[in-house]
Amino acid sequence: MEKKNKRSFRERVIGALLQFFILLFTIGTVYPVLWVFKIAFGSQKGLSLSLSLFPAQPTLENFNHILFEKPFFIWLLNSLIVAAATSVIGIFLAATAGYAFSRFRFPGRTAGLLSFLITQMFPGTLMMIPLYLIVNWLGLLDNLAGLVLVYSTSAIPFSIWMLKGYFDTIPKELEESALIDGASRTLIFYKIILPLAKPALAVTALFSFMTAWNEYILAATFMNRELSYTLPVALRNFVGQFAQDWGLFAAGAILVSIPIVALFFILQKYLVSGLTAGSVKG
Amino acid sequence: MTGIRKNAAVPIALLAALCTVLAGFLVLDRAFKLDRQLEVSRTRAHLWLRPLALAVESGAGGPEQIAALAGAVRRADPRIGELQVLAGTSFLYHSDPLKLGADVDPGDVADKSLYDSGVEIRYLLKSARRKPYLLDLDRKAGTLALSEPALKGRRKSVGTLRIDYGLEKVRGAMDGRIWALFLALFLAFYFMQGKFFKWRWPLAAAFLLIALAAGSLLLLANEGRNQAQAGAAKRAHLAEVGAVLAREAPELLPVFAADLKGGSFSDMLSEWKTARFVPAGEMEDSASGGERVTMPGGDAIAVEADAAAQAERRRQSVRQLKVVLAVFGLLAGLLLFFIMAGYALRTLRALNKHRYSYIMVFPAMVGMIALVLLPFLYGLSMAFFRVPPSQSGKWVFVGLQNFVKILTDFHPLTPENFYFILLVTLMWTMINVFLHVSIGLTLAIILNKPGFPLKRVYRVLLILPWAMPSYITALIWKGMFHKQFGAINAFIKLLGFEPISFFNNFWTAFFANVATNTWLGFPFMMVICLGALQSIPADLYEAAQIDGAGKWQQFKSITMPLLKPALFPAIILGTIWTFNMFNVIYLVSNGEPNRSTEILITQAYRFAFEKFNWGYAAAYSILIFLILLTYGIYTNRITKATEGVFD
Amino acid sequence: MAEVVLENVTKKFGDVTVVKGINLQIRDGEFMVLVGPSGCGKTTLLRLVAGLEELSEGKIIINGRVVNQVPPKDRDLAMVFQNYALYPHMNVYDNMAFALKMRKVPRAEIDSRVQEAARILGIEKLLERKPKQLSGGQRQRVALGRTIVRKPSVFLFDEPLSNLDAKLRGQMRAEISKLHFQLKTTSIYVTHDQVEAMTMGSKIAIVNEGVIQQSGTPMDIYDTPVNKFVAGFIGSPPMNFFAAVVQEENGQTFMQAEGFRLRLQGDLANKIKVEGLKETLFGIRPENLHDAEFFKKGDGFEVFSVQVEVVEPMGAETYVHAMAGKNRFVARVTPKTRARVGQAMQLAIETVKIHVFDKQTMNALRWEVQK
Ligand SMILES: Nc1ncnc2c1ncn2[C@@H]1O[C@H](COP(=O)(O)OP(=O)(O)OP(=O)(O)O)[C@@H](O)[C@H]1O
Ligand SMILES: [Mg+2]
Repeated sequence: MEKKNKRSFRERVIGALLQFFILLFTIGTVYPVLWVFKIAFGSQKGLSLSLSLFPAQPTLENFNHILFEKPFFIWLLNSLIVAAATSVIGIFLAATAGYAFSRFRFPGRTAGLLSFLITQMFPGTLMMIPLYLIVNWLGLLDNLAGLVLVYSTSAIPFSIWMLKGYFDTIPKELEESALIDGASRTLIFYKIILPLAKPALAVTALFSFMTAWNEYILAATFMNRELSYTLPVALRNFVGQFAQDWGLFAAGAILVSIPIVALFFILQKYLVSGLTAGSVKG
Repeated sequence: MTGIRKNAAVPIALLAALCTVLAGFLVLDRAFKLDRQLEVSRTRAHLWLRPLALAVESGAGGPEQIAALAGAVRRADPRIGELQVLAGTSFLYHSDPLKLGADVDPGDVADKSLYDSGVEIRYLLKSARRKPYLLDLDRKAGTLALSEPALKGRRKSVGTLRIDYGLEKVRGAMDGRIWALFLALFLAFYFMQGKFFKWRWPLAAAFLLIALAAGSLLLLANEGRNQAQAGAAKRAHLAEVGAVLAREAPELLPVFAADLKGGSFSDMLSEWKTARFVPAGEMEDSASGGERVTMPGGDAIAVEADAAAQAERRRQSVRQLKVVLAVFGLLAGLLLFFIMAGYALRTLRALNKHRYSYIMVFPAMVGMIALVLLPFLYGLSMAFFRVPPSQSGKWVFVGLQNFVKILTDFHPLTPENFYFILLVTLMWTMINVFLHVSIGLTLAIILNKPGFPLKRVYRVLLILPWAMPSYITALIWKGMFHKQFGAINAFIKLLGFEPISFFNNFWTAFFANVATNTWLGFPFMMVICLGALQSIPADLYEAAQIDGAGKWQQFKSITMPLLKPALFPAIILGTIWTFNMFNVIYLVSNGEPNRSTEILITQAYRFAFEKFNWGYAAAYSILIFLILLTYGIYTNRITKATEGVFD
Repeated sequence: MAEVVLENVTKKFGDVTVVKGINLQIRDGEFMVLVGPSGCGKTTLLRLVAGLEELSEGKIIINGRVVNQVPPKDRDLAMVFQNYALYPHMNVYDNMAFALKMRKVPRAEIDSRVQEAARILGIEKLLERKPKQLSGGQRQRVALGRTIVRKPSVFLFDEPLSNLDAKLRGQMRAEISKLHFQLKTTSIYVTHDQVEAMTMGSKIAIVNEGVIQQSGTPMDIYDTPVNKFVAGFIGSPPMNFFAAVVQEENGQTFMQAEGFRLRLQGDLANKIKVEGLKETLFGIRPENLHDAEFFKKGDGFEVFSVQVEVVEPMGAETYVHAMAGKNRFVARVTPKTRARVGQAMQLAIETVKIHVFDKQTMNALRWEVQK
């Protein structure tokens, strides 16, 4: 009680220092992002040597260019389709599997869980050639479906582990009660488990979405026609081997980042609980 | 009681099956060896008789010279027991001097043994065998008896030769490695079965299969070696025979060589395509793919191998092997069948009982198997081949060569040196993870302080780097480190220093990478720590305060231990991700300067997609995987990060 | 309405047998309380009846039908869980209506049944709330309500009151009893609290280590416990036990314990003689020990001297904790007692009320109880 009213001098100094430190750190963190804005709204094609965050002659030219002189909306649509499909498929597969891993004891359970963990250690380079061959064999090169397939499976292991951890924290009496009440397993899954696992589902969906939205190596390998590019591939080409158009890149970067950052912030209240619920309990 | 018996059943069954298979292999191995032994001994005997037969056929030099040659032959090889050269019906040479010159015509034979051999020889003469004929094989005594016809023209028999010859010694019929292998397999199983108790039956089956496969490989390898040895022995013997001829009857040499070449009697020499006499002085490049057997005088017989014949032989032995393997496999399989049948029944029952679980896991599993596991295995297999860049090219099996190359390349401090890159990678991983965790934890602790002003705003802003697509931020940072136009250099200039060209020096380039990745990675750890901190009940701190613990002690004895369960898995995962953090290295420093800031994964990528050295890249990736796997297992054991997850 | 019969019910988890061949009959409309110490397998038994666990051996028969293979939803029973298991994302109304919706009961009927149950339990005002916004007692009522709307033929309760404070527990106890009186539904009620068992059960079954030790009406069990475990488990404060040796003197039978000696009479003495018991354990309930000062001596009483250690006046009565030799025991005496800590006092023991146990088997010696 006393402490609240009369904060000691030392504590106040420490508090101020911490505040200052965090402020500085946050500025440092946000600076690169603001820098992108400056380049995007600037007129030069290249970078500019100044610390100032305001462009010398602000212009919307870069945005104009990327939005209307490039097939930006097609790329956006590609990315959206891929990312949305990836998260829907990924979530569906991960939720069902995660639920089984969490609730049932069946032969092969531990092995399955472990194998999902181990896949995280597979180096991507090793997988690329075979994946290319498989996608080619399926006739899905230059096809969004190929990317969706590959992305959703690559997002699954992490999602399964996360969801399983979350499902573990839901008391099993809820299900048993529903079972006695006459609900089927499937109904319990949809009516009881999924609603309760919303935070984890949201986070899983977010991560799957991000995986698909941000990936560019596989996309660059699988997609060869300009019109089937996803946004990362297209953007990467602005500052790739053949071009150094930083202004265009920055404008594109902003456009690409806005949806995903927005999504991230909307879902961030779930982030902490969804991500850690499973691992903290024990 | 029953428990012990139940435990012992599988090892005993496996032991029985292994013994059956082992016995099979040993018998087979022995049979192969005996086959080769007989082949070599027969060939040697045949090669001794051949020149003598030629001499009898041509009649050149008269009986004395033939006898002298025969004598020389007999003296040259202690393994020759009895040697008889019969022209017409009378002995030109007989190892028993008393019988020299004797006629085997039944009319004037008093000697019983002579009579017997006379009968035999006449039989041979009459039946006009056109080929060397194995009269007798006595493995116990270690001898064989071979007859060789001397022919005039194609059919007319002008004489017969006979030799008793000591068999080669068969060494080590039992291969120690097979024993060791089987013993090791059994012991491995014995000690593993406790761990994989549920899987002991399929495990036993797998071990049996391994035993079958490994045993076959060993057997094939042995057989290959035996054949090579047999070939070498034959060639060496040819030199011996040639030497005797060169000394005693040099004029026979070309005829002898031509005869070998004609191969009229050479089912034993079928792998020699051609043989020809090369007189001394006739300088000639050695026959392609062949061997030159040189005699003391400098003359030589060039023997050319017949690849087709050799291949045919090998194929034949493989065919034999297959048959035998099939038989033993069948036996072993039958042995396991009853066991496996029970197991399969149980599996089916389990499948049915847990069908709901399996149905739920199935789609994810299928996806993982098709698009993660299969590609991985495909990549894995690539590491053992030389894979041509084009898709249609043929893979060449190179065994462990790729790995050996990677691991034995000690070029100091070049990107070719695996160990150097490994060092860089380890440094990269440790520094990054350390920074991620310490920054994330610090921020989380500050932001978790009750009543810290604006903490929601800070929290949102501080996870921004995580929300942004990483390829964008990596490229932004690359731009920030740009020498002329980058913000960092603008700042450095502001402080009054010279701008730095970050990517011209290892340390500055490395720093740029680390800075980028730290910026990218701390928010994840921060969120994890925040979540864990929030889940620590406040009354624990109150209790500690009442117990008189200071701030630091509270941190040490409450915060840290309770953070652990959440933090350790995150750290392990973070380490794995950082170890394989392709984007940052590839997009920021891109290996500059001079490929020195590459890490393992980017290096593997370069081998694959810039040098198109797929096999090498695959081997590289496998090494990465093995390192991570070891790390994962090790840390998991130490931190027990997954403890309780499997209950 | 239904009858539940358990025949040789056995449950193994791996190598551990948790429920060992239980036979029990619960008649139609009976309120059977299963009581036993923590970890003895009560919950497991209940879950077996509910069909949430698979039987290892034996049969469960509900209303004449073997239900071993019948899934929980088709057994027509409702269960109240120890932690209530209310669906956190549904409000009280939906929680209560869930089971009816599953059974495709018409909307109007669902509504009337939920309202009725809410009225019975006094939670009409809470129907819109989420479980998080309820107190423990309210949640308990909702959990009860959820089961009664179903009108099942069997109720299962798993320690429904253990999360409540003492006062609320007493209140809810009465309410559940009242409810049972109204609905007359066959019920199985699990608890580790013997007070709940005594007060609520029309029958009780005492479980220990997966085995039913004794079942019967509360008073039967209280008066004639079959073994030491039951004797010690039922009753508060618990029964006092002493080790004693049987002695014969002048044709009379005595029980010699440390610090005192009792003369046995009548049937009990005969029975001990017939059985030839030497080493025994005997027990006496606190209410069968009296302050000798306020008790007229007579037949069936023995008086002996003890050292008083603690005196606990409860108002209507007083508990005296005392020592005789090395034996420690509790007597429930009149509040008028003048026992003082540290002083000696005279206790009268009702010899006809003692329980004698075989020292080896711990089983009670059966003899005619003199009323
Ligand atoms: N799923 C399970 N697997 C293994 N053992 C179990 C399982 N469920 C219960 N047990 C064990 O069975 C025994 C009985 O458990 P149960 O829950 O039936 O006890 P209980 O009588 O209800 O105890 P409490 O009064 O504490 O609730 C315990 O020793 C417990 O450890
Ligand atoms: Mg219980």
